[in-house]
Parts: sequence; C-alpha cells; structure tokens
Amino acid sequence: MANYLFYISLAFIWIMLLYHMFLAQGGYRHFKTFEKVIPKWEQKMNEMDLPTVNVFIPAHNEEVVIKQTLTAMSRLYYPKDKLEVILIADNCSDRTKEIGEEFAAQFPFIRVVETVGEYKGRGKSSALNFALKESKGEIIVVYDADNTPERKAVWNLVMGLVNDEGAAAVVGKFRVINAASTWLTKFINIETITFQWLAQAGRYFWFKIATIPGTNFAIRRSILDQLNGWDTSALTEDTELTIRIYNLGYYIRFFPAAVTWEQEPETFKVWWRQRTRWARGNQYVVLKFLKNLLRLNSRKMMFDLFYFFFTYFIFFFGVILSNAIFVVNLFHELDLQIGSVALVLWGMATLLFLTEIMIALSIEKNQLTAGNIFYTLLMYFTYSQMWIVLVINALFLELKRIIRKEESVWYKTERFSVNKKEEKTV
Amino acid sequence: MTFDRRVLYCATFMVLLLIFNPLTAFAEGRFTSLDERKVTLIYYGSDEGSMKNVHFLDGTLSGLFEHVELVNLDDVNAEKLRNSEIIVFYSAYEIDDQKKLNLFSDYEGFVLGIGDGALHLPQFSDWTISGKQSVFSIGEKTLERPMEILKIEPAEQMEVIEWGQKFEERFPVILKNSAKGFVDFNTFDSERRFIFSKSLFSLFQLEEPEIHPAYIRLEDISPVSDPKQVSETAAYLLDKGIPVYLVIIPVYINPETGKKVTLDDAPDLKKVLEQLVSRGAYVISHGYTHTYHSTETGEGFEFWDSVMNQPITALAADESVAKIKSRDEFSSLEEYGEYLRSLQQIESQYTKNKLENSIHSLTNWGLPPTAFEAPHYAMSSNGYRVASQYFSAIFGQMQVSDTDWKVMTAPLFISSPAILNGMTLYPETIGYVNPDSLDPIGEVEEVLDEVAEVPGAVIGGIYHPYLGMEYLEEFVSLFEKVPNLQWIELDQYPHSVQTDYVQISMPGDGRILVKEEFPWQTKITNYFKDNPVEALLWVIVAVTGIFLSIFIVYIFFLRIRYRKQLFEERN
Repeated sequence: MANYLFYISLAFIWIMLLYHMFLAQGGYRHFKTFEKVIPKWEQKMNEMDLPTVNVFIPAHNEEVVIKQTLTAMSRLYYPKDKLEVILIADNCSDRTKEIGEEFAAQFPFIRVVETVGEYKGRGKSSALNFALKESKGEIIVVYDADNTPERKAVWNLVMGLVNDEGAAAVVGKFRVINAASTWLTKFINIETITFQWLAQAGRYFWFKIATIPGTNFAIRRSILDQLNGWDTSALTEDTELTIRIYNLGYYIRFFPAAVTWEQEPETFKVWWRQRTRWARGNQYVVLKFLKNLLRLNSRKMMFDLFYFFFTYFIFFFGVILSNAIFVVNLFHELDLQIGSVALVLWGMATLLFLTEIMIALSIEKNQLTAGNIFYTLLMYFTYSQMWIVLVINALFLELKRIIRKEESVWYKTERFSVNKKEEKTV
Repeated sequence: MTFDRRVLYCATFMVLLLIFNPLTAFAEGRFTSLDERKVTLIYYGSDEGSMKNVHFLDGTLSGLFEHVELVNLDDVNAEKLRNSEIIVFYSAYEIDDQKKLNLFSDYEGFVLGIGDGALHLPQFSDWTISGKQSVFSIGEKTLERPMEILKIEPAEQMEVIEWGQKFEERFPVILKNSAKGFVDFNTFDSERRFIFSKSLFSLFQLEEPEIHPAYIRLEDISPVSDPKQVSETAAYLLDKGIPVYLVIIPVYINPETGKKVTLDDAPDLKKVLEQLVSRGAYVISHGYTHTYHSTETGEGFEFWDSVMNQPITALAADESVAKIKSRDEFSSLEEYGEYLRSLQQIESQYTKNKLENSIHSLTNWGLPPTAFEAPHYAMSSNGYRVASQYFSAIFGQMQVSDTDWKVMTAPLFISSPAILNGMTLYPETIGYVNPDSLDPIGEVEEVLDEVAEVPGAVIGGIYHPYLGMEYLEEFVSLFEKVPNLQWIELDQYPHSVQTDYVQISMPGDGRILVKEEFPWQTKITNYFKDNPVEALLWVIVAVTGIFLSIFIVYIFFLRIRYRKQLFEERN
C-alpha cells in the first residue's frame, strides 16, 4: 500500500518535473532565437502606417504608485498621434484621479476616465470593459497601475502584433522593481524571472502557448470585440482570456523584448492574499473549462489546461502524499521497497530546481549572483513549501465558495510607496 | 544491487567456511566408496515394464560400482563381454537369439542373472526348473501379495542368500556361488526393492556401509509461500544441525488470473530465504513456474504434458496442444523420425529456457541453486539430457518412460543412472508427510524402517513447509532414531550448476562459489524485468542527468556572454 502510494506520488511529481525540464530547454531556445526577427520587424514598422493604440491602466486607489506609472507612460516611444493612454479611475476615493488629470493636462495623449454605472467598482475586468467602450484604438495595451514600462515596451508589443498575423495578443516580460526590498521580493524576483523564461518562453517555444499575465500585453480590438471583452466573473481574467483566445483559433506571442517593471508585495500578508486570489482564480478556470475540456476547439489549450490542472491539483497531491509518507515513515517503518534510486531522484530534483532557475537568472543582467543562488536554495525549503499550504488553502476556499454558491470577491493588491521606502533607506 | 549480492555471497561463503571447517567434514566426501570392478548391465526386452526394472537396476548398480555400462542384448559383442568383470543380465522373457547367447559361453567373469530369461544363458544351462511356486515371504519379510517364483534346482553348490517361504516349505530366491548368482524375480516393486538392494552386498561381496546418508527437503517453496512457515520449519532443522534443502519455484503463476508472482513481489519471503541461505541452507531449483498448461494450478507439471501424458511439444502451452502422432500416421519411417526430432527440439528449447530462467532468477535473488528437482519428478529422457547440461545433482526419483510419467523409480543409493546422463541422483526414498492420510507419520515410518534395513540406503524425505510445525518434530525424530544416520551436506560433494552466464561450483570442500557473468545487455534487461519501476526511475535519473549537464553548459555560455557584454559596455 505504502509502496503504491509512494510510486503514485513519485509519478505525479516527476511528470511535472520532466515537463518543466523540457520547458526549461524550450525557454533557453526561445531566448536564443526571439530577437532574430527584430531587424526585419523594425523595418516593417518604419515603413508602414502604424495602428492606433490605447494603453489601459485600470486603477483603484492607486495614488501611491500612479505618478510614477504615468511618468513612464508619458515617455513611451510611439507616435503620439497614434497613442492614447487611458487611466481608468475605478471607484477611487483617493487622489488617483487628480494625479491623472494633472498628467492629462500636461500630455494630450493621456486621458482619465471614470467608471460609471454598472461598470463602477466591479473590479479590473469591468474597468477594462468600460475603457474598451470609451475608446477606438485598433490595439489595446494593458498595464497594471503599479507598472513602469520601459520606453520601447508598447512599441515592441505593437511590433509583435503587426508582424504576426496569427497572434491575437503579444505578451511582454515583466520584471520586479522592488527586488531588493525584502526577503519576500527577492524570492518573487527569482520566481517571476523563472516563470517567464521557463513557463512562458518554454511553452511558447514548443507549443506557441503563452498566458496573458494581466499586464504588459497588447491585444487586437477586433479580438476583444469577438470575445465580448473581459469576463467579469473570473478572478483571474487574464487566464480566462487566454483560453478564449486560443479557442478562437489564435495564439499569444511571448515577446520578451517588451519590458515593464512592476511592484511586488513586500509583506507576507499581501503576498498571501494576492497569490491566494491567483490560485483560486486558476483553480476556478481549470475546473470551469475542465468540465467541458473535450468541447474546447483548441487542442493546445486542452493540453495547457491539463498542465494547469496538474499544477494546482495533481502535482500538489503528489507532493503532499510524498511529504506525508516521509513523515509517517519517521514514526512507523513503512518498509518501502524503493532503493537508493529514490535518494538519487531527490538529489536530481533539487539540482533541476537549481539549474533551471540559474539558467533563467543568467539570462537577465546582474541576476546570477551569489546572493540569488543562496536565495534560490533557501526558496526550495521555504518559499516553495509556502506554496503548498497556499494552494491547499485556496482549494479549500474555492470549494467552500462553490458549495455556498458565493460570488467571488476581487482583492486589490496593496501597493507600497516607493518614496516611503526610499525615505527609510536614506 | 550487484554489490549487495556480492556482499551476501561473501558473507554466505564466510559462514559456510566457519560451519564446515574442512577438518570436521568427512575426509572422503563420499558415503560409500564405489567398487572398481567393471559392470555391464545387459538387458533384453525394451517394453515399459522391463525398462522400469532395467533403470532401477542401472541406478542401483551405479550406486555401488564406479563403472556401470547399460547395454541392450542386441548391442552386445564379444569385446564388451571381455571388458566386463561382472555381468548383470536382466530378462523377463524367453530369448531365442541363440547366436547372442553363445557369446556368453566363453565369458569367465561373474554373472548375475535376473528374471526367467536369464536362465537361457549358457551359465545356467544345466540348471533344472521344476515348475513354479508361490511364496508368501522372503527372508523375514512377508510379501504384500504372494509372488510366483521358479522352482530352481541348481546343478552346483550354491549359497542361498534369500529364501522364499510358503508355510513350512522354503525355496531359494536369491542364490550365488563364486562364479554366478541368480535372482528369481524380475520386478522391483515394493519389498523386492529392499530385498534385492540388500542382497547385492552378499552377491558381489561388497563391504556394507556403516552409515545411512539422509536428507529432508522443504518442498514447493514458491513466492506465495508463507514466510513464517518457511522460516520456522527451516530454522527448526538448522537449529538441530540438520541441513536444509529449500526446493524453490521462483515464479508462481496464479491459475485464475495468469498473473506472475515472483520473489520480488514477496520481499518477506525473499528475506527469509536469504537468511536461510546465509545460514547454510541449500537451494534446489524446482523448475521455473511449476506449470506447463496455463489451466493447471501451482500443483502442475512443468517438464511433462500431464494433460496429454506426453513430453512437452510446445514452447508455450495453450489449450490446443495436440497429441503426439503415432507411427502409422506417417508414410515412412524417415518422416516419422523427422517429426519426432522436431518435437524433441522444441522440448529441448523449452527445457533450456525454463532451467536457465530458474537458475538465473534464483542466482539474481541471491539464492544460487545447487541442484535440480523436476516438479512431480516428471521429465522425459530428453529432458534429463538437457537438464544434465546445467546441473550435476538431481533430487527425487526418475521417470523412466517417455510415454507415461507414472513410470517412476529410484534406487536406494546415491547414484548416477545412465538415463540421467551424468547427473547424480539423491533419491527420495521415504515419501512425504501427507496430512490427509489416516496416519501421516506412521505411513512414513513404515517405509523408513524398510529403507533403513538396506545398508547404505539413502533416507530421503520431503516435508512441506505449509504444514507448519505440526508434524515436523515427529518427522525428524523418525530420522533421528536410525543408528548411524548421517545428514547429507551437498557441499561436501563436487557438484556444479552452470549456464552460459552463471557458474555455481562446489569443489566438495564446503565452499559454494558463485560466478555471474551476464553480458551488460542481459543485466540491463534482467534488471528491467525484475525491477521495472526502479529501472524506469533510473532511466529518469539518466535523462535528467543529461538535461542537467546541458543546463550547466547553458549557464556557462550565458555567463560568458554576460561577461562579454559587461566588457563591451565598459569600453
């Protein structure tokens, strides 16, 4: 019995690890190849009549970060007659709107809108849908309110779309602006770099699959029209949108040349809330689509959903099972038949974790440092283990919600004032 | 794994060395020293009944004489006779080939005639036979049923070794003088087996051995055996200083599901067996699966088609195995011969596969076999020929017919009958404890007492571990009351077991040397077969290892690229 359970947990864990190993290889290959097309693309951009672009910034009480964000927007590299940046003030009770209006006064291509009626205070999806109604640009670019895109970010995103007919959306890369702040942001920094070069780049390289991360992406208005905008009931509107895009027969390009910098949670509590929302959102999406998995048009999405299913359900089950067996074995001899190979596998798993992260880190400038390697090792035993608890908790909450038939509540991620931080360090 | 096994063998070897210090072991290695005189066993009549007796005679003589040659009367020539010091002539039938009989006229050595037909030999030409007579007992032994003998009146002075008795009258049954002897019966069933075997010492003036070699086999241990019972029964014997012979079937096939259960699926039993072997227990290969027909249970035959009662005719038996065709179904003798040869080839291949699988799997599990025993002792003569390529020792009895497995016999001595093609037979002589019998122990005791009357006879018995401890003590005490009983330690005899890849040799000094040299491909396939899960995990380790090295190279390249960038930026 114990033996079978152990094999099951090994199988679950290793299917995942091998898949990630495969993705890491793809991620590296994508890094080596994604830039090759740029000269040709640039040329086309310079020759053509550029499309009109709307940048959406949904904001709900973002006074802490919005100034910095809009400053970055004001410096975007794109013909200003083709660009309109829209700050969507959604149910703000602070100075967000005022700050936005100051920018709008100074920069004609920046506009502030305020959600009204049914759109007001209903969360990000609703705000985006409102802006969609209020604008006309051929291409929509979305940034979270705490983002500071690099100058050519929008340009690069649009470049991806005009050069790739099959892509409904182009996703850029995001980096952590407050990586040095706390132990938590150090972990998140490593995590996000790895996520993008492994999961995003890897999946894109092998299967042309990428997930919209909620920020720093461009999408054709025509597609959004076909899809009737964002799904307001989803906690993770981006995953939801991703699936619908693939179902429509398009794909999403991961183009890491478009870079934005964003703030990450600095305290455990905020992190916990944000990630619980993500986990719950993804669990919701997986379960929603899994029910009619076979009715999905896109084979790729079926596969990717299965991957999500594995991530949030099977893999964690395997890990928990394996941990449970380990603990039980401490107190009660289970007489596991497996020999030294189990220990070797464990070592291999750790090394895989380390090398995969190190590849991702060494792609980014200045990231493969002794400090980061130390944090990576530490992560294996701390941050990664926190995820287990988090996913179980999310699953529990999600089940409770389904049973009680509650509506999902959108928790806005709390922002951290850059200035305050600076004051402290000075 | 291999390392572990080697350590185990080393440990086994060390323990064996300690237990069987050469100084304490018997100096000669053999229980009875064999007589050097050259014996030719000549027989007439090749029917099943005759052959059973001939093989018994051959076996028995080979247990007493170093050189025994088995010859059909048709193949006898003057030279063969000249080279023999003793001729044992067996015939239950009248012989009309006067020319052949005349060959014996000039023969001057000792002649032992057995059966009516032998009286046609010139040596007995002046004996008178005055009719037939029934006797009720021979010597002290009352016969199970009256036996008809010839009333012989020898022409010369003869010493009577055994008298047959009818009420007050007595008639010579076994008699001899310096030049010849005669046995007035021609079958060796029941009591006659013992009477004849015992008489041989007087007939040939052999020294009677003082001891009885003995063994107890723990029979039919398979992966579904209860480890506790095996451990208990074997440990009981070992604790008493009695050598343990573990008769192991390495694979059990569930008759209902067809599912294979190997020792790997029975880790507890495997551990028990390993421990027993390290304590000096001997492993006897009991075939590979104990089955041929898939419909049979674990009680099945493996080297004999018990459904058709014929030799093995297919590499894998299914329902459609056909009866072997008879001579009249072929137009010519050549065709028939060709047909039989092709069947024999299949049987040989089948037997090879099974025996190699058995030896290899047992050795892989750290239980190197030291001898062979066919399930139900059933095997054709061709099967024995194949088995002799792998084993030098065989336990049990021998099947002496290629058409009926029930034709079975065994001499009472450790012997090497011609039919076994060089293998030494450690005969089973007293049977097994049958719990269904009215008197399980008493039944064995009866036979044992008879065996013990024959000097030097092996007392070989079987105990099934599934009986637990219930009968074991009593069973053992039967042995213990035999004076001069000496337990057979197989490693005191030079024996070997070999395949192309495994060499298990026992030089006869208490050592059991195991050499495994599988080619790496076989090692890998075996490992995969034996531990599919673990093997798969090692494959994962290998694949991961390859990727890990690739990743490290990537990191290295990225690092170089980063350095270059820094350098360029600085300039």
